[in-house]
Amino acid sequence: MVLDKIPKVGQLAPDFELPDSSGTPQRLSSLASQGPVVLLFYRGYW
Amino acid sequence: MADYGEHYQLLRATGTNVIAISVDPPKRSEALRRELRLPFLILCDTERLVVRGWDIYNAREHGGIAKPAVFLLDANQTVRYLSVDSVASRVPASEIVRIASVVVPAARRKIYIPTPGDIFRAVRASLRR
Repeated sequence: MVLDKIPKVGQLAPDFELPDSSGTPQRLSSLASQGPVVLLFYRGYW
Repeated sequence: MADYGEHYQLLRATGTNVIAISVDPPKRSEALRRELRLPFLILCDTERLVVRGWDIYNAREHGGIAKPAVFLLDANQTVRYLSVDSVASRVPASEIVRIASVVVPAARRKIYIPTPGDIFRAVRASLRR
């Protein structure tokens, strides 16, 4: 991923693919195509 | 996170889904999801590619973690709202519900039909309060 700035309001969010907690790959564009999405980044459980 | 779990049905009522992301591995993320009974996906950015690429990477703590951040994307994947915090606080879920109901154009919403599981979780959450 070649990005150095946070996506701003009005900009297209860069696509990515990450595994979910069951290990299944999930692509942002696929999830967003189903409707609006809140992306919630959190610090982690440690 | 629990705050967003409790407001999940209200967000779904606006046609908005919720996806959580951290640098935790899947096993740990699933443990958290079960512990907090979160009804939404947790994605695992263990390589820190997204948090680095989106410039929400906190390299100073715990070997590198995500800053608390919330993005609201519309169905075209365009950012409609964002909030990035430097420490542990986060914009309350109730505020995101309010914003989603205003910002997300009605024409782009999908009709949300609750499943029996959604109804069960909503009733259970209301009884716990």
